[in-house]
Amino acid sequence: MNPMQIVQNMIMQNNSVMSNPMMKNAVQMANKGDFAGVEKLARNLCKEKNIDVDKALTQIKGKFGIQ
Amino acid sequence: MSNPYLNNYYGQYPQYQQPYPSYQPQAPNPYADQRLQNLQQFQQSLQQPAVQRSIGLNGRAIDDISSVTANEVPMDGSVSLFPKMDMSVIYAKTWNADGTIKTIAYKPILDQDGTTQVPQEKEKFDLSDELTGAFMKRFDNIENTLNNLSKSLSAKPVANARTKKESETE
Repeated sequence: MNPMQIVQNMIMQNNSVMSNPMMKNAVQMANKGDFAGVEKLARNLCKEKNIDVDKALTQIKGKFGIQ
Repeated sequence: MSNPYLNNYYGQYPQYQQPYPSYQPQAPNPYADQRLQNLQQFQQSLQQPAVQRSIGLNGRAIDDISSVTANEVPMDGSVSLFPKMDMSVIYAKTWNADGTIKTIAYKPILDQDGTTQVPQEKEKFDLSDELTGAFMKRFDNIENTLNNLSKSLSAKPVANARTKKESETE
């Protein structure tokens, strides 16, 4: 069992996480390998919270020295 | 005569008192303790059952729906209600599984005189007006066809009778 699977199992066994429909959807998409769907979910979430995803990404990248 | 060996041997002598307080193991790094506590709390949170949702309703009275922010809608899947101050509409907001917020507006049903209309009990077969109209049109067609048929049936025997009479007279 690799660390990725361990983390996934920890999340899947956490009832408080899996009772959240959005989180459940994200985990299910990640398990299926649908990372485009996860990204879309994240972008929708940011849009609802008035966060500019691209701006936030460039800020994070800048903090880690990634261009 | 008492046997001195049966007595508490150590009771005859004062117990040895340690001159120094007992050794308490202390973590060399205070941050290590904190990290350990954080880890324990995290493990406990994993073992805890699902957090029970609050029984009360989320939301508040609002002047305008635009004043509601996304942070006011809980991300646990429950619904927040935002009635307008004048009670002209109640907005229900909830997070969708795709990361968007769904908003449903509930409006009161008012009579012409402005009083609240109590919705009538629905019939067992509730059909739309269009569907009812289509059925009625079909029924009318059938009725017309039946009328025409009955007219033609009632007209034909007379004709036959006449032709019979004519043939008899000849």
